[in-house]
Amino acid sequence: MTSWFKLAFAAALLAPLPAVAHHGWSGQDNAHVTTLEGQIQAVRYRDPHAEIDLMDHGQKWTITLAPTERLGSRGVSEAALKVGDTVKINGHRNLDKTRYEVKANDITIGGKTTNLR
Amino acid sequence: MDGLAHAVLTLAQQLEASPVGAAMRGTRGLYPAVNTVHLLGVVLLVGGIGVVDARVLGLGRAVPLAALSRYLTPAAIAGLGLLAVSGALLFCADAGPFIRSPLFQAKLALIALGAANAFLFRRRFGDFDDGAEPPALARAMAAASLGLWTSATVVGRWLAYL
Repeated sequence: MTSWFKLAFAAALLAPLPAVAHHGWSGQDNAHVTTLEGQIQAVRYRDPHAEIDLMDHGQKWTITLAPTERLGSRGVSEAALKVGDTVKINGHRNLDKTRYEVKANDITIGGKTTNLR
Repeated sequence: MDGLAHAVLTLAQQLEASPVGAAMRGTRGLYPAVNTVHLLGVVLLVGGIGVVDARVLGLGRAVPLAALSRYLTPAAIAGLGLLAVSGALLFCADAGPFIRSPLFQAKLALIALGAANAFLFRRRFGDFDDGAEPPALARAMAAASLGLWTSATVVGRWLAYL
């Protein structure tokens, strides 16, 4: 068995793994702005994009914010995003409406709105 | 089969939880820096070998093929090296989701086929003799090279969106 065949074989072996989407998504509902307000449930201050989980009227949403470098330079440090704090976001929802995911245009923390785009 | 897939998944999860994975997610500026190296790797690989492939396919016959191949093939191999190192680092940031992504699995398969095609091409034809024109098999493999590396690039870019 040649080395390239082993490589292709190894790649094919991965196919039985359960499929999940990566963090990224391509289709967002740009025709509508989704506004959410609620408590931060979790903060993932990380690259390539920071995320928070937000509870709005009993529904947990995953909000994609921005790369950490951009967040930091606009004054949204990791310390500014606290679990339990109430924040408001405007953004665009994933076109797949079975997923409660929003890419945020801006976030309002303690009355201060920061543009994220 | 399932046992091996499980072992690969476990390894991916360990890489994601490793200090390298944490550094890729949490070190200021690191992710975009490694992403930039990955992009430069694509430029060297697809640009370098793409020009050789185009010449093998019959474009730019005014340029001597042997000299072109001797000059650009090492650049393409350097690009592949940059891609492998930077790609492994980017993978560590999100290894679990990546390894389960059908798109990522397709990308790995395309890279394996592209590398196999390149290896067999080198073994069969090398840099060609001075003044020689490539036979039909070489042209077919050059077309495959163009198709495989551009496909791997397209699939790789879509990984960020699907």
